[in-house]
Amino acid sequence: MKEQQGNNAELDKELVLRVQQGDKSAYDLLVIKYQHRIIQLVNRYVKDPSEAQDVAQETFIKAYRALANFRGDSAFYTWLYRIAINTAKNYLVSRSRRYSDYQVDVQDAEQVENAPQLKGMDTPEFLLMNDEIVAVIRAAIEKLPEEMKIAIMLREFEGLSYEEIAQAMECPVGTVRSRIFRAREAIDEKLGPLLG
Amino acid sequence: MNKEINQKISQFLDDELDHSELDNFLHNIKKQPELKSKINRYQVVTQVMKMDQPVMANGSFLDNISLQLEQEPHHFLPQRRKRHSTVWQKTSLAIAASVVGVAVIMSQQGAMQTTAEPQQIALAQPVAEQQQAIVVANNPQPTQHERLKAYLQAHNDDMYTHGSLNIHPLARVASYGRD
Repeated sequence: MKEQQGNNAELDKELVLRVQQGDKSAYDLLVIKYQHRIIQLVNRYVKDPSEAQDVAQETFIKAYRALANFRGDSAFYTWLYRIAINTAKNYLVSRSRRYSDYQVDVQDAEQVENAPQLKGMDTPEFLLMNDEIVAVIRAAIEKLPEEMKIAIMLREFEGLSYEEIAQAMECPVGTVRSRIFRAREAIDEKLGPLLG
Repeated sequence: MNKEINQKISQFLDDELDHSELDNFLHNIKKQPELKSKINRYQVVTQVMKMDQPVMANGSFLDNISLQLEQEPHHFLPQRRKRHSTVWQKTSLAIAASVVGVAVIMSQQGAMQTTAEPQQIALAQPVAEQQQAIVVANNPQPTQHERLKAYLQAHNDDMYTHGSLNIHPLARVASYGRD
């Protein structure tokens, strides 16, 4: 597990180095890799999925701007995590100020109340879509062959490395790699039409 | 070919991609931007498996960030210092070592002085008051002593030269008690 975290940090540092050298596509990979985790984290603070998207976006932009100063003393995710928390806290402070200002004007207060809906994140359609995605994925997992299901669950739930899973399942690492990939492909086959 | 790339995506998300494969992986992602959607979907699967109530990024999340970052300048690495020749490195190393050596010797001397002083004080303390006057008399300031000696000598010479009344030369003053 420790080795895996080490590899994780090292791979991220490689990507960061490439961004620092001017390769913006490397940053895209870091964003894709951590976007959901950061949104989830920020949402714990702001408690609004729609606002969490905006705060998470701001986090990634701030992180990009500060990347020249990232020296790799900590893991990239740890560093990003701190930026996300600070951005979320700043957002909460500004929101409380904004709300206290709006309380003066009833009309504005109504606008603020309706704001998330305007963005289309908390709409019934969006929530329905979200529920549908979750249902499709869970159904697809249930239908996976046992060996694939165990491999991907050990990876996702337990956070085990391929080597640890190989030991647990008494099979070569290559087999684990293939099982996890095929499990993802099988789920993605059902998910693809929904997410595009 | 795509199957192979997709497997690399799976490995990348699990942090199991080898460093040597990273360049090729990045190259493929650049060449086929649609692979980013694939990575995103794999990530959604992970989130749904891990969370009871997952909050997922919307489809335009990455695009919005990319759009904003298009205007941003590249964040280059801070300029690294150029490597000097080995001769210069050795010379600077030798200078640094010498400076450190001198600093160590000086600090040791300082330490010896500071450790010796308390012992001297401790030993001398009972008789310190008695000896103080003697020490002052035996060890006057060199300049003061010389000044006094010169003054007496001048006085002596003057007395011998002018022979003033009731004023005795130094030799007489010093031997006054013996008379």
